[in-house]
Amino acid sequence: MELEELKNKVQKDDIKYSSQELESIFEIKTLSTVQRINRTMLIDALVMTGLTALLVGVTFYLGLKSRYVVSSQIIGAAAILLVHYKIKYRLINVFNPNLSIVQNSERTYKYLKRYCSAYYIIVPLLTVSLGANLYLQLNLDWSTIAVFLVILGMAIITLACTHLIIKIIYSKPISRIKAIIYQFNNIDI
Amino acid sequence: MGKNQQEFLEMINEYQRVIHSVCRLYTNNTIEHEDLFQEILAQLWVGYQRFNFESKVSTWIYRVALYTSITHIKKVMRSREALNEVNIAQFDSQTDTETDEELLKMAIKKLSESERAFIVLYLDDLSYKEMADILGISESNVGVKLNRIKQKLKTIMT
Repeated sequence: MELEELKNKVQKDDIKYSSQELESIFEIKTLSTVQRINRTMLIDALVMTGLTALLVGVTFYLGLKSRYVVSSQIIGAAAILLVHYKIKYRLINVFNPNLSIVQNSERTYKYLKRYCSAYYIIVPLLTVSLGANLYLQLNLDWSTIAVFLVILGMAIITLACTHLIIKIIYSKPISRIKAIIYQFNNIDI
Repeated sequence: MGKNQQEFLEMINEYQRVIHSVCRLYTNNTIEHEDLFQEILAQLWVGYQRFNFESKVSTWIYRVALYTSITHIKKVMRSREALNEVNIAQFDSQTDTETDEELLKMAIKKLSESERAFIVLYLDDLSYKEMADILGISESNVGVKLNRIKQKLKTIMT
């Protein structure tokens, strides 16, 4: 059978839900799914914001000497969670209805890469900051070169760990989106 | 049910054939078909609030349905690997017409997710321009791709 014959056959097929069936699918499945996702998103956002505010509040309440540093470190940690939140709920599997399939995939891919770059900047900065803070708290008397080497080592180890974690969490969606773009754009496959 | 929801459902009712034709090529049985239909419906409802009606409603539905099918295919089609292991030879005992149609459908299911998107649009008799608009590639690329896919189907079937 040729595709042309199948085309004629398929166009005569008429699988259809009745209005009532459609309405019940929408009410029972669609609305509950969307509500569940929205609820999870809201809970995650509230936990994230609440926890950040609470931890910052505690540092000020305790009157820590380095409360501004500690608070900025907590906000840095929250920024990492925010990037993950954006990727999970606002990027992957979210389709912009006004763009084509390839445009959507390219847009998702571009933002995904951008967010991953944010991880590479925020996580090492946070680790170095935590390390520096610890160094000051412990009143260590190291030479400048030793401090520099330790900070450099920490940054490198953190970068490697960040790279590994990003690979574990995001390599699947990244390669899936890349494959879609490649398959549609490349006329040889 | 709100006015917005009512309008959405009326629109889906009018264009549900589009969703079914996508589901048909990306699933193997009724349960998967229903699952994918519901998934697409949820994506359409989420996108409905943001849809600016600059493109045709059918174009929007095709885009969402195909993208959802391509990206969610692993979740929806758990039994796909089993299908790939089915030997085409088992259809030998059926009548010629059935065998031909089944073989073609089997061959289509062996295509990649993106290639099946072209077949969905081709079987629904869309113009190259409409296909290009939905997929986001040039009209000439649509033509080249379709010819290659037809050749590939022939190779799979022989």
